[in-house]
Amino acid sequence: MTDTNGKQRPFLGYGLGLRRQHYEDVLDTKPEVDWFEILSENYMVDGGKPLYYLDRIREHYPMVMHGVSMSIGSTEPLNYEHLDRLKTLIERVEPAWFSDHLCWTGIDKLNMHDLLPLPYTEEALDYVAERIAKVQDYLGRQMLIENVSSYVSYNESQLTEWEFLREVAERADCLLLLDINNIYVSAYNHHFDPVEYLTAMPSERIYQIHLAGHTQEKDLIIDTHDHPIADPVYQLYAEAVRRFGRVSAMIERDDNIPPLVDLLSELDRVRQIGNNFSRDQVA
Amino acid sequence: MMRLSELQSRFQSFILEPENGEEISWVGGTEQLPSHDRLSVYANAYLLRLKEVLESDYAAVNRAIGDGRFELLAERYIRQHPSRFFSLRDFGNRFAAYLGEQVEIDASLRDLPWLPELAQFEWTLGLAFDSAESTLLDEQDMASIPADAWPALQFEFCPCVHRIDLQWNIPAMWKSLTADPPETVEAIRTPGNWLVWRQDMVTRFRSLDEDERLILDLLHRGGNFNDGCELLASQIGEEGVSMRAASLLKGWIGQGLVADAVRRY
Ligand SMILES: [Fe+2]
Repeated sequence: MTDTNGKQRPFLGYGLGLRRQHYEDVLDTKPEVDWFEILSENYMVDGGKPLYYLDRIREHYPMVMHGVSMSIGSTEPLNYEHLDRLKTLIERVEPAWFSDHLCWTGIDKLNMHDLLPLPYTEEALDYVAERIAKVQDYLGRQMLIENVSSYVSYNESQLTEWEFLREVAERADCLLLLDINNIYVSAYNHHFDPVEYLTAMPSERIYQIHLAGHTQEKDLIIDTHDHPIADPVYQLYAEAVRRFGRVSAMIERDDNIPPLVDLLSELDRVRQIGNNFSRDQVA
Repeated sequence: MMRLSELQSRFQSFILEPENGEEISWVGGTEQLPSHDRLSVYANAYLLRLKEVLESDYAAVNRAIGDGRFELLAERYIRQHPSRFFSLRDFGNRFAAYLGEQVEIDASLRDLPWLPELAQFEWTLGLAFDSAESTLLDEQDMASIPADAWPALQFEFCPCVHRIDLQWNIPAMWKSLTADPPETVEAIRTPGNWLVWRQDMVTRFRSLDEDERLILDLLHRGGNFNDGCELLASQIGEEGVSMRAASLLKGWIGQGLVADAVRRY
């Protein structure tokens, strides 16, 4: 698998989101996790425990960085102060790559602390692609953009979500973090076929996969990240691996955090699917 | 055609004020799941997320007044002070000041005059928790300072060193409220001066005697050792000064409060 520049897509293996509840366990037991993803904003602090553990765990594991507050789709100007902090953290962590979401988080200098969906319009497409390109220029590297889950669709939308995501990636020449759970959640909430979504993705740009749990409510699925990965999401993941081959994949657990060993056994199932189906694909 | 900026403005207004009565024509909905209900997922999540942040940053305040009362106050704070921060860790930074206003004007809080101080104390613990690392001065560094350098010596304290003056028995209350299981505790008016800092990744606090508070505050503000000793003399008399100064300094160094000692002219 090669990317747009003809390079081999890097494969880090199977990872976990690093959570403070597991800091001690990770250092004590050095679990068989191939890499960790950190939430960038949690380490944009001056000092103390988070940075202390970050440095120590980094000595033993490869890492990638994942942000939630770039607000790449906001009509507010880019926050260069934030980008500078991000740059400093990138220099400290030396991650394999960094990512943020295809969303906006607030306007009028306010932060809703949420990943709010964009309308899939030509206007938004031009706007977001240009902003991603600006960020990549400023930070001097490509970034990964992640699809978010959503509960609303705008009447103004002219494209499907997958058309929009693909176009953004191509115009900005950025990479993709495909969240399989988010695709599943949005497919249910907006009544589309998740496989059609996968089919539209530019395989060579997909550097990372997120898997997570969700909560089924009466008419909507809420993307809560507080449960184990659901079976249909595993199935969709298998479908993705069949199409894209080996992609670095990980579990995102943000709430109701179980003991590390539980996540490790969940990760075993992810690894098994990843290895089996990508082998099929290579053969 | 509604522009991106217009859509974002409407979306955010809904999150901040879901019951603003505006008709939602720009989001798809069905009879089974109207656009209002879909958007409400975001509005509810916003409120819930910020409440959880306050609950965790102000766990003792929450326990002291109970979930119901805390939730009401948290919700009012969230509505009055929407987040302007990139990180949730800063969201609660005005909660103590907000509680200070509320106990003045809200009759239902009149029996809780100590509440703002408890919040301020919890926030200060949080500040000490993730303030910057710094170098630490040790006993050997101190011993190597030439005698004639001492009078003009200034001390740099670690960024994690915070001072807080309290009118109530807040640290005792905090300990009881955060004990597992929480213990009941009575608020007692008893003024005290406190030091909050972090040592070996653990957040600590202790009370200060009057002479220690005075010299510490003076040195913290950049006063030199000579000024500090004069102040100490005015408190405890000339003859005890060098002993007392030496023992205080030794304590501060042992507790990891002092980053550096510099001679400035
Ligand atoms: Fe994700």
